[in-house]
Amino acid sequence: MQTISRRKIAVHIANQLASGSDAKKVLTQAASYLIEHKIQNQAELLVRDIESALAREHGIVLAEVISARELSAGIIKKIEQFVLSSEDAKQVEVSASVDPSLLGGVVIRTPRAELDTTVRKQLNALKA
Amino acid sequence: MAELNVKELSRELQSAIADLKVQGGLTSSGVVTRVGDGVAWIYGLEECGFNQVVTIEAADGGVVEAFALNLMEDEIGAVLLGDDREVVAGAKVTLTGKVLEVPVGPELLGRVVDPLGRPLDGLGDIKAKQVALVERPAPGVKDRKSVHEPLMTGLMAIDTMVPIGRGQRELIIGDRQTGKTAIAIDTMINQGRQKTGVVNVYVAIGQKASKVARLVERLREEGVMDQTIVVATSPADPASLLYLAPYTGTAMGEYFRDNKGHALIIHDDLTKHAAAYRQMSLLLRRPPGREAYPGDVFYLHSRLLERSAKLSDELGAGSLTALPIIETQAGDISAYIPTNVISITDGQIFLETDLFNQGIRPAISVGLSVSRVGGSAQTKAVKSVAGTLRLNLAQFRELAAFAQFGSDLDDDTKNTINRGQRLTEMLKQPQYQPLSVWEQTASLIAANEGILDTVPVEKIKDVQSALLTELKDHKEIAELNKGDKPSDKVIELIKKTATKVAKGF
Repeated sequence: MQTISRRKIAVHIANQLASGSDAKKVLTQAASYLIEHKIQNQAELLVRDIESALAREHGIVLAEVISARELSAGIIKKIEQFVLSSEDAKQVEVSASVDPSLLGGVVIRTPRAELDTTVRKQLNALKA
Repeated sequence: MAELNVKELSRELQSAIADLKVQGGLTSSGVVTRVGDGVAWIYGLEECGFNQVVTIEAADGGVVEAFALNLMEDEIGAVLLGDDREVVAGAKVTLTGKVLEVPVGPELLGRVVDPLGRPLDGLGDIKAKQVALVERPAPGVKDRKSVHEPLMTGLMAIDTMVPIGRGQRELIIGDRQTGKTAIAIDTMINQGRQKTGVVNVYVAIGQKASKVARLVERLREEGVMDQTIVVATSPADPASLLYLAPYTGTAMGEYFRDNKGHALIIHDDLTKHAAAYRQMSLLLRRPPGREAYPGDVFYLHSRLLERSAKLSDELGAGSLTALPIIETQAGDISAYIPTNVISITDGQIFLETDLFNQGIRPAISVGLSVSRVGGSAQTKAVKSVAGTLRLNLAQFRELAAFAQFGSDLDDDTKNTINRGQRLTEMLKQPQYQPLSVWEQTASLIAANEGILDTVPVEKIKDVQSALLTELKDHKEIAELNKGDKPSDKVIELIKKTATKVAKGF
């Protein structure tokens, strides 16, 4: 049986989601495919591929922002603007979280790129 | 060390975020999904190009470099340039946007480096002013000129019968322990002794570190290390470094070629290089072909050796001569890699175990060795004696089988066999004793003219040594060393001296 690449499946799912199809139904179909082909271990990579396809094909970027302390709404708005311009996106959805082990600074992670300005990274670089 | 003020650092970073005046911005990143046997499989990095360098965050906070060789739809296969134990699944990967570069230039002369240009000799940092791409296209047709200048090896058997020109690719092929590396070392030493100005680049591919150390020591003793660069890899290095070594050496040699200079590169040996590439290819899941080598193993060596060339006058007329070495198994030159490299190069010097064991060193098989372009680069002095030598040896080979019949042979046959035995003896040469143009020419004039026919075979080398000692102070000899065809006066002088010397044995 001909297998379809993960990236092609991701593009198909992203198209379905962007066109307003029932997300639950689409994801159930995707899960069935993964189980049928015994590639459930690639579920996480498929999710990342879907995020990447949404950004590439539809300009919808899901940005993960991790900081040492909670960021104000103003800063999150500025980060949104920054991602919009750097990723050439139409729409940015930011999910913010806090990780005190970063010590300071922020990590902005999009499906295809990353910006790490944390103190932890700088200290690691000094150590190395 | 000054105390690090984390709070202050944090505040500064926060303000940078607030202003969003971030240097560099978002960088393309991916993640390691699997790692092992020197290969990392990476998710993401859709923009990554072939041969581009990526950096992987190591478990200890450092970075391990890798270069991408397999660009597939869902993942990238990258070959690690460092220890794979430092890379874990889930590690962050960043695209550098660069292909591999190494330092080049005269600052590398006298140094021993690894394939990434890092010093291995403990003599401190290399302060090279330039870097060059490890992989570069070869010069095109209009950028080249035909090979016309000699590259003297100092070995009589080679310089007379399989001459090498500057810009030529001449393969040295033979079984293990037949003297392949010895030829290469003698050639490097000769460049120093004859003050040719040719820069040597010796590339050790998976050679024992002890062998490389001995070689470097010898080159230092001979005073040649100052014009030599050694690119060393040992069997303990990752396959990726063995794969890169000859390309790095070529990039370093190209610097001299492109700056109106002349360089000689020795790839010791390409059999191990092909094996390293086979290992990488199999681990990258590329389909195996003949002898399990990948389909592009020919291209692996052809693109490498094509960079050794003689440049046109417009480009400075520099040259890069290559002496690749191939190790055969039981004299089988029809195996996959030997046939590939034979077809790529401009000739081969074939060394035989039987000849080596008979004491004929260098153990060159005259019948199987050939130089396709070197003839036009031979010095006139050597050329004037080479034709007769080749003819005499060819006749000797035809009749050699009859030598055991002894007295049953006619006089002509006996004479041909006698002459052949003496010429064969004359072509024997101990290691580290390359001969200059005049030494080769004078020795062969004496042997070709039959002056040594009455000397016992075992005394031939003694006669040669005495002849050269006798001749070295004559002013005519200095002229002969310039490479011009010997004048009748010089020939007469050599004949007269040889006759006088031969009488004493």
